[in-house]
Amino acid sequence: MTSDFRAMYCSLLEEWLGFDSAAIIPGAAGFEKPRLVRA
Amino acid sequence: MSHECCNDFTRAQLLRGAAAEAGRGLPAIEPGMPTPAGTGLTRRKFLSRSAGVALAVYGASKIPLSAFDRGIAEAATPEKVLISIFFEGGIDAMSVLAPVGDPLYATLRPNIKQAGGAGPTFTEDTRLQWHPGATPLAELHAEGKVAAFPAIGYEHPDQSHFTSRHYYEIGELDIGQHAGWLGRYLDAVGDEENPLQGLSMDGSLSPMLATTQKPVAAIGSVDGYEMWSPVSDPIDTEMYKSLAKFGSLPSDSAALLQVRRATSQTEKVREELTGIGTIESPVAYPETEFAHKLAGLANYLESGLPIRVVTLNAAGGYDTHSDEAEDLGKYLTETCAGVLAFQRDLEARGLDDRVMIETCA
Repeated sequence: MTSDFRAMYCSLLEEWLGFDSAAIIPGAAGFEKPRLVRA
Repeated sequence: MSHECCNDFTRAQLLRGAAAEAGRGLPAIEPGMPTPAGTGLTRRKFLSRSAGVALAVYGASKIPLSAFDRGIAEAATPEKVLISIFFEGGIDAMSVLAPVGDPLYATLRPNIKQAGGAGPTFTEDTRLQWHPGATPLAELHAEGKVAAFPAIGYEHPDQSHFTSRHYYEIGELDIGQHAGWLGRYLDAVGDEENPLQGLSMDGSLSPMLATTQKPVAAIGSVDGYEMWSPVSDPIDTEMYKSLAKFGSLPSDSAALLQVRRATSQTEKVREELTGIGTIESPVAYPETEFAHKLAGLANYLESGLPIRVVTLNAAGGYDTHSDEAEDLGKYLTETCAGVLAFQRDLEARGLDDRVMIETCA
């Protein structure tokens, strides 16, 4: 495994949907979130 | 037949209540699978005039169906849309991006290995090669429009793809969670009366979208509606004109008058629904069911329907076992070709900056 799926979800929520993932994904703060969207 | 019955038909509200459960409103599951998120949500069907589609609305049981049409019409068009495409059955990721450059690959996969050069090289790591069926994704990847994250999972899986699927749907490692991860997002930001905010396009609700408070919806078809007739144009056009005239004629007979009202109401509904849901795309799509859904979705997005998140299943199934060599190629090709056409459609309509597609298995 290279990435936890929950980290991906956190990135989608924060980078794309602009929403705090901590409110949706339990333990969000503990995941290393990958960068999904280029600036 | 009473006049009120005609009015109800004219409003086109089909009240069929049910509670969602696996196999009825939610995807069917096999013995041993966790109870899908969304089980027990109320499920009601109605024809939305605002959207021109027949929806199955899940949740928000205290809101009358009549409020949803207003909710759809009044909701703001979201800035960003997230589409989740799920490869049912668990796709063999090592065949989507094959490590042809690893000397162990051919030894460990003698029967399903890809030949070097059979598909495009993965430019970020040239030891990897795209499956030929994923060539459209390789094209988008070369344009900087696709990011690939192989080997996504979680610690200590029990090797059951049923359990894993449930976890991916709920966004956590808790079998008892009743809401999908996208459903929790919609509960936080969604509208009370807009079921289109979470749209499942496979006829049943994706557990990913299961909410606890806000309404979400499933549709079975992106196509519009027309009344069936035994004849075609130009005869049926003249036939419907005659029906409209017949329906407007007066009568001294109460029974005949009721029949004429029913005819008039029916023609009115036919006229109102004609053209709604007609799919017009600026690009050519493959002639597949999966691509057709995406073509319809592009139409919905351009029309400004208040859709925030969408779920749909990839073409076919990916629990291929010994049929992988044939089935994976067929279904992956269909899915990726559809996604490419959809991306080009969004670009042509100027919508590509608003939409992100996430694929998972």
